[in-house]
Amino acid sequence: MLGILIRRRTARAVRARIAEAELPARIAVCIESVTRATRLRRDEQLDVAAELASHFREGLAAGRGADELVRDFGEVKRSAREIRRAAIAKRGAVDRAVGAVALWSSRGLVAVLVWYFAWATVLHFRQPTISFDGIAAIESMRAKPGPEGRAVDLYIAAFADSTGRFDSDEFGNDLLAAENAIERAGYDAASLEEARARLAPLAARIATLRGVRERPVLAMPLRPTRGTEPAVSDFFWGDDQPDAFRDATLDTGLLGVLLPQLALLRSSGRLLATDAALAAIDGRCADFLADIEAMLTASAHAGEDNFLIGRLVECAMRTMAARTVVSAIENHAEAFDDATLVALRRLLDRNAVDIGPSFDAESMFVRDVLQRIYTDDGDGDGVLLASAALRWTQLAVVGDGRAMGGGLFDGDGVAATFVLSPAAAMIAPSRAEVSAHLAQHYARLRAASAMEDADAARAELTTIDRELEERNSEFYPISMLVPAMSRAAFVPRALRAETDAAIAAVELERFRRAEARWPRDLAELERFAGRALGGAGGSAFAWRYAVVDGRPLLYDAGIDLIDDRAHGPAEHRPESEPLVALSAVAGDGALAVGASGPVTMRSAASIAFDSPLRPGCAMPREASTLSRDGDTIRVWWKSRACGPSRVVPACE
Amino acid sequence: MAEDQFIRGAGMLAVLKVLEGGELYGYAIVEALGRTKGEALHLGQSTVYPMLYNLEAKGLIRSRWDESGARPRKYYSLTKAGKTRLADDSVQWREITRAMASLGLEWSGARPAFAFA
Repeated sequence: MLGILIRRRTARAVRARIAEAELPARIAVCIESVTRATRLRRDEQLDVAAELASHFREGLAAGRGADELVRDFGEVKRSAREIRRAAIAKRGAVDRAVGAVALWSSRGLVAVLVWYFAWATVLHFRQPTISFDGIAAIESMRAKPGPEGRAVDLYIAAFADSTGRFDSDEFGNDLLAAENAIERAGYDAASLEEARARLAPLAARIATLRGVRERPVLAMPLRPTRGTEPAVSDFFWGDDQPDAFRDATLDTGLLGVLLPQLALLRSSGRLLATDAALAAIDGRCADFLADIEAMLTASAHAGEDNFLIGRLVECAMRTMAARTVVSAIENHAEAFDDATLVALRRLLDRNAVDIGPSFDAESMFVRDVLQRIYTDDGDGDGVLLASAALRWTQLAVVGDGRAMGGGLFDGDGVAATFVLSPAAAMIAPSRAEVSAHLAQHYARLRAASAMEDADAARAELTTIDRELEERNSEFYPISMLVPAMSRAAFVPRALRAETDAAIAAVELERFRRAEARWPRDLAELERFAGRALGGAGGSAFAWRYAVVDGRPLLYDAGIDLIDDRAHGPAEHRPESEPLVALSAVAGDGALAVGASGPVTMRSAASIAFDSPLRPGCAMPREASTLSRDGDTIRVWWKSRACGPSRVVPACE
Repeated sequence: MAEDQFIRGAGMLAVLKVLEGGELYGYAIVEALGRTKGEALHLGQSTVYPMLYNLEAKGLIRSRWDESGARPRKYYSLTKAGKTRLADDSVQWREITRAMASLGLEWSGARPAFAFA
């Protein structure tokens, strides 16, 4: 295009120069033909035109005719060729070299453009090869239900309304009201009555949910449809079936596994925990035990598919169960007979999660994605397909791409992906590079999650996070599939700590009953419990033990590593606020508000490990402030300096 | 091809010889060559002008535009290198013609096209 413009501009200048000579038209045409045919530069063509014009004017002046002069001039093409060759020879060596470079560069550019668009055409018609069945791979990792049947049918029986659907909004409201009531029930008679009233209509559901103890395998279909699993599909979605299920041509692989059961299972856990709390208050220790056991079974159901998100929900539910045990024994230890305490201990001994297989499942998910956005050369390698990658991204973000008006898949979008596809294929890391990178990443996460030494694990996970962040741009857009998972890898340790706290609570009560006193130190408690306690968080969160105001206190030194027996730092305590001695709480749950003295925790529940991985993280001021909030008091919880504060109901 | 090269070589020598007498413009050079005996050196404009560019590219002649007259003219003249080359080629030309004559290859006319000094 630029060359055409330059040639036209030169031709106009040449015509103007010839016109200045006022030569007959025949001669002017001859000069222009020769000059243009030389294809020389503008200044060279002007010089040639001027000289030829001069020649013909001399001829005319000598009395010769225009026709004769043109005839005598000779062959135009040959003359132009000779003039061009001679004119180029006149140029300097550098000039000729630059000209040659420009010529070959332009030819090279044309060749590259031809190659680029040829490749774009090839890529445009390439389709990903789906050779890995991620759904089957995940299913092969799952346990199969026995003759007792799958648990998913039990959950559906517990929660389905008259139309066979699950009204999560209505149930959520009922559950929230019951949870709010039970939170105060140990201290407030009216709240206790309200909790009973809220839970009474849910008794049938709770009873059904306890039945999951007999069905250890959930066996939730990974992609239930109305065609294959009408009861399951209608229960979760009714007429709002997901796009991927509605349209069979949109096969999104593991992306189409929506895991709707996780929210249901978590709600089940919350309902069981609420009922367990009421059972502890009411002295129904058998129901309490059944609720906790059902919670732990439901937790296992959540993690059954090995998806990381499922395992994390499992950890959260198991943590909820452990905290429910701690709270019940803190406040209502007298409700539990010895046998129930032993049974609780047995349950808690199994309250652990191996998150390693989840990284295998995550790597399968990524492998499934890669095969949908990369070409496949049959040897584990390939290049990124821009159109497929954008297509997948759109499906991942908004669902059915065709449901959108315009965007990536309208005319402009197709043109853009066509033009960009070779660039994307060249710039993006190859399929083999991405696979190797991810395999290494997941292997390191798996190894770090299995490390015995918590400090070493934390250091390794922090390193993995940092390296992932540093290489993020290198592996874009794949990096969006691999968020930092170091926190996830550490969650099972937090669960271990919560479980240790629950075991400590159980064993403290058993010790008191056996010895009529509290353990003198942590070692004595550990000997009684028959296992070490509190080592899951590493050195920064090592447990300390003290008997304060005649009650045992388990705590950690916190991120500042100062052993202040769980006292909040003085500089963060507003002087205007009265201090509350939780240690003054009587065995019946009465709490003395307004007493001065240090803030302490009463139980092992003060041990928590969801504080930041980096101990140097600054503590938010509001999290370390003791303040009044209506009729509750907020307790500074040292190990959770960067996490949520614990709200403890205050008595009148 | 061999004939072309021979004529071109002779033509370039002829142009240098024409310019030996002083600077000339293109049309005058063509006319001077056209006045030579026979048609061997009636090269025509389409040959003479490329030849002039070549000689200029080799540094044997130089050019200048003179626009002081009624008609602008591009004058060519010998450079020092051109004069040297003319002298050398003239000697070679004489030797060749002498050798050719000894073989009985005489010019058809009584004398060669140019009376070399």
